Amino acid sequence: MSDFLKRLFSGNSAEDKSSLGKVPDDPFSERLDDNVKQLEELFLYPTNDTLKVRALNIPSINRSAKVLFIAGAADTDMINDHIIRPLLASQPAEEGNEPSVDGIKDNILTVSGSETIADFREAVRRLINGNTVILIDGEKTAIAADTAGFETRSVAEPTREIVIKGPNHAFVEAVDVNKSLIRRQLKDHRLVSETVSVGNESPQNVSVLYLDNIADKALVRNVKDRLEKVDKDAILTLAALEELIEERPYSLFPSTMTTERPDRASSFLLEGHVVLLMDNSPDALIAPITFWSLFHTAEDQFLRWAYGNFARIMRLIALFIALLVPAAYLAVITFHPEMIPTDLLLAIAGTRERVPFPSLLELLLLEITFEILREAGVRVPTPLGTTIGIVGALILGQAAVQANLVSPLLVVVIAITGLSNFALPEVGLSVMVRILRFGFLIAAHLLGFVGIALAFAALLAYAASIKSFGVPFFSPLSPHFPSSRDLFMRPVLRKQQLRPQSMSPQEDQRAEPEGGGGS
Amino acid sequence: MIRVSDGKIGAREFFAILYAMMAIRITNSTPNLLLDAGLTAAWAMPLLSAAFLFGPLLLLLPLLKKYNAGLLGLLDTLTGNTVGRLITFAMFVAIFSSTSLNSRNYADIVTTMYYSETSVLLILVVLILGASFYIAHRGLEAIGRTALLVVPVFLLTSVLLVIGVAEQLNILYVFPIAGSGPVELVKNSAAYSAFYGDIILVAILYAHVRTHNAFRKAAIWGLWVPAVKMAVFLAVYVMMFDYPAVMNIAFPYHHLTRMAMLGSLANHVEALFLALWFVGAALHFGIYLYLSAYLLGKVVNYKQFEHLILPLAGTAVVLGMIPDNHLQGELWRMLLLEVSSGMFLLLPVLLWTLDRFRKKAKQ
Repeated sequence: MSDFLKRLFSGNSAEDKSSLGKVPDDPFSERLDDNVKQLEELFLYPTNDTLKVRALNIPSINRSAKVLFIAGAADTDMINDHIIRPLLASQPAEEGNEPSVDGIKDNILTVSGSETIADFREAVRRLINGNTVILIDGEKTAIAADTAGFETRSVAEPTREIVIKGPNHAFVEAVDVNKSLIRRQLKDHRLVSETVSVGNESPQNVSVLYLDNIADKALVRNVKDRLEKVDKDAILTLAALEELIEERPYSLFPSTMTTERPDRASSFLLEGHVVLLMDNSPDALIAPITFWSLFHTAEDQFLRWAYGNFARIMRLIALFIALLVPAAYLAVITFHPEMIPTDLLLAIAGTRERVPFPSLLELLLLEITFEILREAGVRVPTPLGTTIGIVGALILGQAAVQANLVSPLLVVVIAITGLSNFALPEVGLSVMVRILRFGFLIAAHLLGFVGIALAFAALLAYAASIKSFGVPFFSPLSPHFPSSRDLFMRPVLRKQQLRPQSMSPQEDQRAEPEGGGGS
Repeated sequence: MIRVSDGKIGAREFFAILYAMMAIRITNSTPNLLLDAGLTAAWAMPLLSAAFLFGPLLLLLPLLKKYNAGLLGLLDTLTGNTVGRLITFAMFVAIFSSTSLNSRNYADIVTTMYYSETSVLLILVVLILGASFYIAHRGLEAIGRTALLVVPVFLLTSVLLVIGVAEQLNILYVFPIAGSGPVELVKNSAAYSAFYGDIILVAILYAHVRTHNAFRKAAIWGLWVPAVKMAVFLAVYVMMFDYPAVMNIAFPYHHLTRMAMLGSLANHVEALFLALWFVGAALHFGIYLYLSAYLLGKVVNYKQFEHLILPLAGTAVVLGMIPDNHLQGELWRMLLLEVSSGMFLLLPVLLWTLDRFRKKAKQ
C-alpha cells in the first residue's frame, strides 16, 4: 500500500486511483484520534507532508473535530471561508438540541457540495480529488466538502483554429470549465452530460455530451458502448481515447476529430453529433465525423455568405493542389509533355538539362526535404523559427537549384504544394493528404495520368465506403440525403433549415426562420 | 442505427451507377459500330435502342413491384429453378464476356492513343485487377456512393468538351438526316439495343434499392440520360469529322478530346480527359465485376459472392488477352451484342407472359 501512495505522490497521477483498491474500506471508528491516525498512516505522515490537519472545537456541539485536506488539491481560501469560519462561528446549541452531522453539513457549512461518508476508502478518494474531510469526535460518519482547487490556466484564445471574426474562447484542461464554455453557448435544458469512466486500473471520467432532443439515441448508445469496451489500464488524454474508440486505427482516414473551440463543439452538438470531454484535455472529441467536418472551419459560418464560400473554394482548390500537383507535374513532364505550351516546355527542358536525376527522384528529394523542414519547424524554439524558415525556403531551395540538384520549376511546385497543405484546416486531413501525395507520386511515375486516375478512383471508392460510427464519410452528398446543403458551399443561413439526415437526428427541421425573406 | 447502414442505395446513387455503366460506351469503339450501321444518322440509334428497351423495362417494373423481388427472384418464381438458373447463367456470360472484351478495348485505346510503348497486359492488370477489383470489392454501397461523387463531374466535363469543340462543328455534316434509311436504322437499333440491356440486368439489384419508386425513377433516367448523351456525342463526331471520314477514325472520343480547346492557352487538354475517362472506366468495370460475381454466385449457389470478384477479375484479364488485336475483338463484340440484345429485349416479355399465365391458371 505504501508503495502505491509513494507513487501517487511522486507525481504519477496515472496510477492515482489504482491505489484505491488497496485502501481498506473499513468504517470510521467513533474515536476521532483513531480515525485521524489511520488516515495519516494511509498518507504516510510524517514522511509525506501532503495531508494537512486542522484541529478545532465546534461550539454548537461542543466537541472537537479535525479538518483534513490535501495541499495542492484543495483550495485553502475556500476551506477557511466556507468550512472553518462557519464551524467556529456556530452558536452553542441548547442541551439535547445539538445538530447532527447532517445538520452541520446542511446548516452550518457554506460550501455548495458536501456529502457524508463512512469509510476510509471513500475518504482517501475524496481527499485526493481535492475534497475536504471533516471528522467529528464521537461520530462514525464524516463530512466530505467539495473544495477542489486544482490549478487551471485561464480560458485563452485558440491556437490552432484561429478566426478573424467570431468568438475567441478555447477549451482548457479543466473539464468543468469546458462544460461551462459549451453551456454558455448552448443554453438548452436538454443538453445532456453523462459520465462514463474509462480505464481499468485508474478510471478517468469522460463526459459524453449530446442534445437529447436531436442526437440519435442509437448513436449515443454506440458511442457509450465503444467507451465501455475500452480495455486499457489508464487513459490520460482524449487523444489516446480517440485512437481507442475509432473503428479503423490503421486507416489514413480519421473517424473522429478534436476541436478546441467551444462554439464549434456546440454547433456539432446542434447537428446531432456527440461531444466527448475529458479532464486534462484542452479539446473536445467529436464523433462521428464526415468529410465536411474536416473540410469546414468555424469561420465559414461567421463570415458573410460570399466571403465564407470564397474561402471554401480556395480550400477545395488547395486540397486538390496539395494532393495531386506533384503527381500531375511528374505525369505531365514524363508522360504528357504536349500539355505544356511549347515555350514553357523548352524552358523546363533547359533547366532540367543540367539536373542529373530522374524527375521522380528529384521530386522525392525536395518533397522529403520539405517534410523534414516542417517537422523541424514544429520543434525549433520560437526565436529560431523564422530563421529556419528563411534558411529552409530560400537558401536551401536556391542552393539546391544552383547545385543542379533540382530544377527551379520543381521548387515552385513543391512550395505551392506545401503552402496549399497549410490551408487545410484539420490536422487529420492535412497529414492524410501529405501521406497520400507520395502514393500519387508513385502512381504517376508508373503510369502518368492513367496511374493517377486509377489511384484516385480507388481512393474515392475507399473514402466513400468507410463509415464513422455508421455515418458514411461523404454523406449527405453521397449517399444523398436531404440536408442543409452545407457541403462544398454553404447556402445562406436562412436556408440552412434541415439538419444532416445522415446523422438521423430526431428533429430534422431547425426552427423556421421568422419574418419574410429579404426584409 | 444510422439509416444508411441498411445497405440499401437511393435513387441518385442508382442513377449514377447506371450512368457509369452505360454512358461511358461513347468513349470506346461503340460509336464505330453505330456509325457503320447508321452512317450520318447514327446519332438517332441510341435513342431508338433506348426506345426499344423502354417497353420491356415498363413491362418489368410492375412485375418487380408485384413480386417485390429482384430479377433473379422473379426468374426463380416464374420460370422455375432450372430454367431460371440457365437464364441467370446466360446473363452472366453476356456481361462477363462483355467485361473482358471491353476491358481489352480500353487497354487498346490507351496503348494506341496515349502510351504507345506500354504493354496491353500492364494496362489490363492495373485497370481490372487493380482499381476495378478494389472498387467492386468495397461493395455495392461504396460503388453507388463513388459513382454519385464522380458522375456529376462526368456530366459537367461532357458539356465542357462539347463546348470546347463547338467552334469546329459543322451542322450540315449530319445530313442526310435519315442516314442509311429508316428501316435499316430501326433494324440495327434493335440489334444493338443490348448497349442498354444493362437497364434490364440491373433489376437483379432491385432488393438493394431503397424503394420501388427510387428504382423506377433511377431506371428511367438512367436509360434516357446516357442515351441522349450518346446521341449528342455521335452527332458531334459526325459534325466534327464528317462522313465518311468519321468511319475511319478508330476512337472518335479520343480524337475529339485532342481537338478540344479551352480558351487559347490550354489547347492540349486530352490528358485531363484521359484521367477522367479512366476514373470512369475503373468504376465501369468495377460495377461489371460486381454484377458478374453476383450473378455467378447465384448460378453456383455461393452466398459469399464477393469472394468470386478476384478470380473473375483475373479471368477477365486472361480472356481479354486472347484477341490478337482490337479488330478481332470487335467482331466478337458485335456477335455478343446481337445475341444479348435478343435476350434483354425478350426476357421481360417472357416474364410478363408467364405472369399472365400464372394469373389465368390461378383463376
